[in-house]
Amino acid sequence: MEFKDYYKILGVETSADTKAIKIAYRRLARTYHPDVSDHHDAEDKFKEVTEAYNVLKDPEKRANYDELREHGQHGQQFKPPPQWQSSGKFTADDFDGSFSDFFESLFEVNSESVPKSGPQTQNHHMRGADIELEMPVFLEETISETAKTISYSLPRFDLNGNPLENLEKTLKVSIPKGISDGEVVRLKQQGSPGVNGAPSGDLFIRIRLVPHPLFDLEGHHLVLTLPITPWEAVLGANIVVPTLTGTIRLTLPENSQSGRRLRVKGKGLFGKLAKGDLYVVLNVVVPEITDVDEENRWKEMAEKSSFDPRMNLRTKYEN
Amino acid sequence: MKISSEECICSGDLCDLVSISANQLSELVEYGVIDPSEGLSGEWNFSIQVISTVKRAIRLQQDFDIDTASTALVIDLLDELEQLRTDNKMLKNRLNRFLQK
Repeated sequence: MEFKDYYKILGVETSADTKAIKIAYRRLARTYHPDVSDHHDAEDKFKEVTEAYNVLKDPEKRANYDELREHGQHGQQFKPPPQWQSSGKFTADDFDGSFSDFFESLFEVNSESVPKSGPQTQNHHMRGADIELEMPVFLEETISETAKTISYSLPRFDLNGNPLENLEKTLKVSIPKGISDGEVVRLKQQGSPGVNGAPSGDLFIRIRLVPHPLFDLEGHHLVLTLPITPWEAVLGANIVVPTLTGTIRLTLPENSQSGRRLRVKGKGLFGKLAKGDLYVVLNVVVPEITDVDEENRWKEMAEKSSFDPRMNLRTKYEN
Repeated sequence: MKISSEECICSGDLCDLVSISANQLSELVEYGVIDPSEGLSGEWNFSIQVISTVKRAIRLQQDFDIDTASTALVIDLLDELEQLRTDNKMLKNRLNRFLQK
């Protein structure tokens, strides 16, 4: 078991008063709270910070911890001295979450009100915990009802609240047509099993649409960036364009500028009210000259053409 | 197994599910943290999409020691931030596609 230096975790001196400890906690909570932080390890950091704060804000528990701190160093292996006894008790009001091994070895956790690692249920019925997970869904899978298989682990507890081996579960679910990114679906009673005959918790699945190699999303509209040649842009063309369900032929009007958006009705994703469209954004790509003939053709055009794309700049800023 | 994102939940079931009182739920509606699916009059039903918002509101209230008015503001700003990040990522993707040959 690793020793945790709660002062170091909160970034305060050992002489810090309760006010300084509270300020340090609030600032770190602002940085690491999983609901407001995008740090990759925000949840673990926040648990650590909360645990440190819960010990150091209470004079009795802090004195208890200070006594032990003389025997350990942050991050190093630690075992409480055999004669040491905790006088600090924790209840549900103190801490909402799971404790570290280090914490549990130091403090007595009130078993009637705080889960050791799960529900304490002696002679009580307790509904199983809800489980939340994310499911990646490809854009192609949203245009018709699609069956997907999900596998997940469910924590289980015995009547005394001690953890049992996780229950592995596999479900085949049918994803409704038109589901969108961030939407949540609920599968009733597919979460952790209840204790003592109580119902199971629910499973909540948050849909995450997987970024597509070709298409971007604007709500339920799709956007395709289409590279075209300068002569296709000038002369117009009939081009084969991919959609989510196959290819279509798109008529490119003459004199199309780079960045122009062409709308293909009904080729987007299903929305709640109507089907989205596909927007094709033109991107004129200039070829690299590889032979003399080609270079001469461009030179000839340069000599003969009167096209001046900078005319507006000249009239505004020259003379 | 068929699933739907359009499922609704009544006030009582929502309170049970997230372990809050009816008063707490009313306050969340009053401050605009969540909206009933069929307007404010009559008996309230909610889309299941609000469950994660309510859970988040309760965590924020407890961990930051803030009232419901502040929670509503925080959640609005967090939602807006998430939307702006999503838009920014999408626009960067599109710009990269435009710059690639």
